Amino acid sequence: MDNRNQIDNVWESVLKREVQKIDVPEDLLDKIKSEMRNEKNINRTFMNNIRELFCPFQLNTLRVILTAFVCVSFITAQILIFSENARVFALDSINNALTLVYRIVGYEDGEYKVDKVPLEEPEWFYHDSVFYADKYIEQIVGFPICFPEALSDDCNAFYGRNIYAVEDQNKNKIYMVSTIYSNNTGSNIIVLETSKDKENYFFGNIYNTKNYKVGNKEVIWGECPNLVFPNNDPRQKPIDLEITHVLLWENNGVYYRLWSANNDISVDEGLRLVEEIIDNKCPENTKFKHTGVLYGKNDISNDDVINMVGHPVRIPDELNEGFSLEYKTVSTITENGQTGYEVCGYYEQDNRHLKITMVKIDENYSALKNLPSTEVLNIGDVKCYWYEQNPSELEYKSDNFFEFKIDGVNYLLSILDGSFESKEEAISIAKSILEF
Amino acid sequence: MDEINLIRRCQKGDSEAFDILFKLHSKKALHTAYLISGSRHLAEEIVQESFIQCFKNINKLNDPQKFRSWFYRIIVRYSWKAISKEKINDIDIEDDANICSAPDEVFETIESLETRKAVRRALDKLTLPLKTVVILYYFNGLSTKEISKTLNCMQGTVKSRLYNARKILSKELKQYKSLSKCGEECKING
Repeated sequence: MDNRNQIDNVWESVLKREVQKIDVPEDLLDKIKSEMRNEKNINRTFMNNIRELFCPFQLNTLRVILTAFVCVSFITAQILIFSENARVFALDSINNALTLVYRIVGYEDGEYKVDKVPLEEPEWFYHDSVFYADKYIEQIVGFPICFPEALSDDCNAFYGRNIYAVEDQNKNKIYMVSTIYSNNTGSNIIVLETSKDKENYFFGNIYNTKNYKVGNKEVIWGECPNLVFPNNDPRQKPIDLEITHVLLWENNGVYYRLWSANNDISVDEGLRLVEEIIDNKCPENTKFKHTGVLYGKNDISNDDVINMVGHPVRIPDELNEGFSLEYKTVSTITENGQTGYEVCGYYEQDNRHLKITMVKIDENYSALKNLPSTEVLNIGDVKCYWYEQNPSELEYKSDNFFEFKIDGVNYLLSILDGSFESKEEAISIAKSILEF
Repeated sequence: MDEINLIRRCQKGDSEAFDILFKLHSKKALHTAYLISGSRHLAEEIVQESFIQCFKNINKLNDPQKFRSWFYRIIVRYSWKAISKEKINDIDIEDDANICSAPDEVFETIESLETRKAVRRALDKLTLPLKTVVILYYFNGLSTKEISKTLNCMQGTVKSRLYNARKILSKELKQYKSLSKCGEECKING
């Protein structure tokens, strides 16, 4: 055996021996699943799949009920009766047709009635999981948006606002806007929603209501039933019924609803939060502070971004080397007491993720130029900087960066989950921005 | 079921497939993370985070055949991140003490103990990227091409790192060839 093979064998056998007594903890998979469930729950809320969690987004309840009544003529249906206390369900004999799903269709004598109704396709229900500034939203939805920056108990608003819309018979959109407050651990998530439309969004599916007063405002406290299905499949018989409590009120001609995404809220806690929200002055200059991210996703045009930030930005949909735009964001940044904007373009290519950070900044500014191993090069007349970290300095981030300035805007390119394969790759990408 | 189908099932959100994928890869992943980080506790955290990332993002993996490179890229990145946070050494003193207190059957011969210590010293002398290449190549059995994908570097870089690692180990082995003191002590104390 030659020396190289001997060395290879030594490496292999010793490394294997090093780990021979290390076993995977039995509970590791459970821990992973638990973490993922927690994360998923928060993400679900953030990504506005709230409808899956709770009933409030059975927006067009009347329509569902109406459809259910129509279907009674054609379907031999047995109504399920839910007891609020027992929370058990009775079996039914409805066949499990693909187009039929279980829904709550009424409430009588303390019991929820569940029926199988044709599946409401979601095309009438529009939601946008991106994040907007209030002033932009107000233009879209046609009513004022005034949410507090934070609620007590360390609950800060996450992201910006989320817009939902349904279309009425005349194809006009009826909007609802929400924001989500969470503490740092995500153990307390409060959802606050507002709309000018009373029935569709807020008041159509609330039961067992009680009226309270906060100042001179009437606040309704009610319960919102949510069916629990095996495998989250509404075609299967529900196995349980969850009750979520919500608070509803009107202020300045706009309706509000508040509920908790992970803890059912108590009436005292709810009324306290309602008071905070009603008392919120909503000064103009606080509207952007709570999030940073103002716009997102690629359905915001470049013109929108340029109008917002007041300077040119180049965000091509496609870049050289096969990178495609995933989404863009505009964030507020503060530099020397001055508020400015940071625009980011996020691109993807074969599971690699490129971020371009664009900031209008001092002419002489460069993030890379003073670093020890930075190389200066030119693409046409544009001076560029290429920085590669020494391998021993490697951390969990890009280990090389590319930077240039055009139209007074600084462009910093980095691969989020790795690094550029070569300087040439970065140059090629930069060229597609410069030529855009 | 072959792994390609398993990954496709994972991409569709099949939780049973996730369980199987975890069973298939968790041990190797834990061992890899341990070898890179030198800490069992960190290794468990690294594997936990890596599988969460894996399960969350597996639907973005276009080619299931590239799973191994893709997955080990996650493991390596999290390991490096963990090391940079903890600033721990590769192998701590406690581990060395364990060698001496371990039962005889763990070591076939005194030579193997010496060899083992030499390899540890050699590993200690490697920079993190060099050490990672060694672990991925010798322990995980990844090809130089797969490692280049995993670490996002040129194949030639991987080869040169392996060459350097061999050189360092060769030197260490020569140096430790005549040393048997610790081994003798183990025998006596054992």
